[in-house]
Amino acid sequence: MTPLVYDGSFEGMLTAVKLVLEKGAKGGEILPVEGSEELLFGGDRVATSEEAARALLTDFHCYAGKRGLRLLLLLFLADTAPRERLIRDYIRVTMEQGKDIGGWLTHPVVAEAVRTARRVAHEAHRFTGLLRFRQLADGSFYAPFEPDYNIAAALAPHFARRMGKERWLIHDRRRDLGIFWDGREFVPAVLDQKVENPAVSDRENFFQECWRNYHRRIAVEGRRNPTLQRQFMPVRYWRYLTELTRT
Amino acid sequence: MFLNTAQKLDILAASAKYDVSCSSSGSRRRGSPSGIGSAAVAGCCHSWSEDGRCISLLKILFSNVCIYDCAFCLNRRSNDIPRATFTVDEVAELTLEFYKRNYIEGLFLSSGIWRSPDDTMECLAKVAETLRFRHRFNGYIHLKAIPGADPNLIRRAGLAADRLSVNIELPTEKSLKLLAPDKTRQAILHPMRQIGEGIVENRAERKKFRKAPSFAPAGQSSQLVIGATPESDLQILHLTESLYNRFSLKRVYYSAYVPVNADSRLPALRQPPALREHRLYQADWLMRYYGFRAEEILTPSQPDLDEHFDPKTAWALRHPASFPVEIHSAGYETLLRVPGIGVTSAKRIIAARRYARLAVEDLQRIGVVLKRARFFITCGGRYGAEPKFNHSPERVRRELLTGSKRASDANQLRLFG
Repeated sequence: MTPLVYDGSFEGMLTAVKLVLEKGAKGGEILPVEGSEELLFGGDRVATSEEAARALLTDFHCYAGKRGLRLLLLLFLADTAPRERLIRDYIRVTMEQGKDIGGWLTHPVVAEAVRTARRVAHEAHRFTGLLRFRQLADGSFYAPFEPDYNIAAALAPHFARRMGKERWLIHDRRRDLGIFWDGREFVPAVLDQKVENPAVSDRENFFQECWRNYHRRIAVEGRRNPTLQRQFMPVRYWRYLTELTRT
Repeated sequence: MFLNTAQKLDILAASAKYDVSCSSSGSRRRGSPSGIGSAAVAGCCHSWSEDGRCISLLKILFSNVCIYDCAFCLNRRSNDIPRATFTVDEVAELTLEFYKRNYIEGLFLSSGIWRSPDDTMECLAKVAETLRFRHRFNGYIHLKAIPGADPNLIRRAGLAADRLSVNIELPTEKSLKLLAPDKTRQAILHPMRQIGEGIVENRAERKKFRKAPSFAPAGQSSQLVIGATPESDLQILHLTESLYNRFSLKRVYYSAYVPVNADSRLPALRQPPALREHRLYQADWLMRYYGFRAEEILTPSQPDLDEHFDPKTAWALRHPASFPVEIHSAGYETLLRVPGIGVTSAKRIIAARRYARLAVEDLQRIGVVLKRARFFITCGGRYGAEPKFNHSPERVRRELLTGSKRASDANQLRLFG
């Protein structure tokens, strides 16, 4: 079967999955358009159909429930993993079984899907704590980060609840994507590297310095344990952690 | 001498670091459009300091001036150290600005007893009230309740904070008299009882009137110092258990004694008793999440926790008749009693066995750690590993012992610091 190429959207991918499942054949590669350049003979371009996507989701929801939908969404954020294959196979096995398979952890398809979704959820939870905002000269807040998965959109509602009055931007520098909150609603943004070092507000450096000092002071010298610290706070995230960077 | 906010923060963070609690869990506050902040039930860690402890709250003292002279405390009256006292607005501003930058989940404010318990408690309550009602801050606030303070002040603190705590400091009255002569057991237990009752009443009230103001919705906790006095682990676990049962505490924290003062009443330790602290936390978990009672974990003939085995393994080794546990039929509580099987593993086993028979390798595949568990389980009648525990418990004990030697104690401690 020729690989199917979709537009990169969740609906587009579900349309492609539906086509593959209707053909009934095993396999059936699905690729987003940005990842399809290396295909030798190109692939069949799938026209995204919201209707088809919704029909598939409705059927899937009957068996897998809310928890199943959440799993699909988490998998879709795992853009550095083989997410199309995971989603396709997970939906296929669910349909074949005619029931929720979320707990069937010994099934290879379920095991891989659940493990991947868990990683995405874990990283998103981690960044509700590890994301660092800085206040810019215009009073808004800016938070750059480089997550393993595409979780900016999953984080945004958390910070909208928390900092609804402020204006802020979460910037995924690995993907050059951003989500801007203007105080009332989200505005998705495609960004480029130029926003590297925007000017900060007058008191920003003072609070950063306070935080760095606090972070140093709060450690008990007799119990130094940098290995443990790294286990919770992997070094690959350090670049944007105010307390671990020097100005 | 006039100190600025940054200098005060320096002094008052260093003074607060021996307080262990940093949890931000147990409260759910919704963000409001006119205010700032929210709190999630699960809590959230924001950073980890060099000692590997999580930083979730801005943990500071309001003041490190103290009229008391407790032997084990850095801030005691007779120590010659730099002293500082914040103003209410300084603490509120630091909390809000740190919070907006997502450094922290909220504030944990404690204090030395300056002038009197009432003066101190009033300042703590004022900080919480300023944050909550003036700045409409919905993040997490943990306040220390000061023993000996007016119950009305403690009530005010509870209406603004998420959690209150009173440190019980030392496990017995006798030790308290020796090391903290200005404090009495009664003065410590009194506010704990008041808070415990306040929480229970408030819960009932909020069932009737959903909008009733909440009183310490994340409960109360306490802390005691381990290894500065001669109490046994059994005494400590009994104390902990009664705090959970009688005052409905959420958490008891243990703090391995770190020598900060030279004092003839204190033992000379080269290293804080970190392994003992770790074992006590394991036992504490067994009581809170695994349905164990203190008297199951330790007995008068064995009053201290084993250095070589975690408390659950030690319990299992004493109870060969309770094993093996059959993975396919055992209930949740029974699975939880297997060494090496925790809450997550037990839940996964129960989910997975509804779909298919599980072999030992399958357990590994779904993420159950078999290092200890394999000796204590059967999968469809087959033992997880030789030697069979109920045939030769002694050999299993030896096997586990050599296994844990290989992963040295230092290594085991890595996980928990």
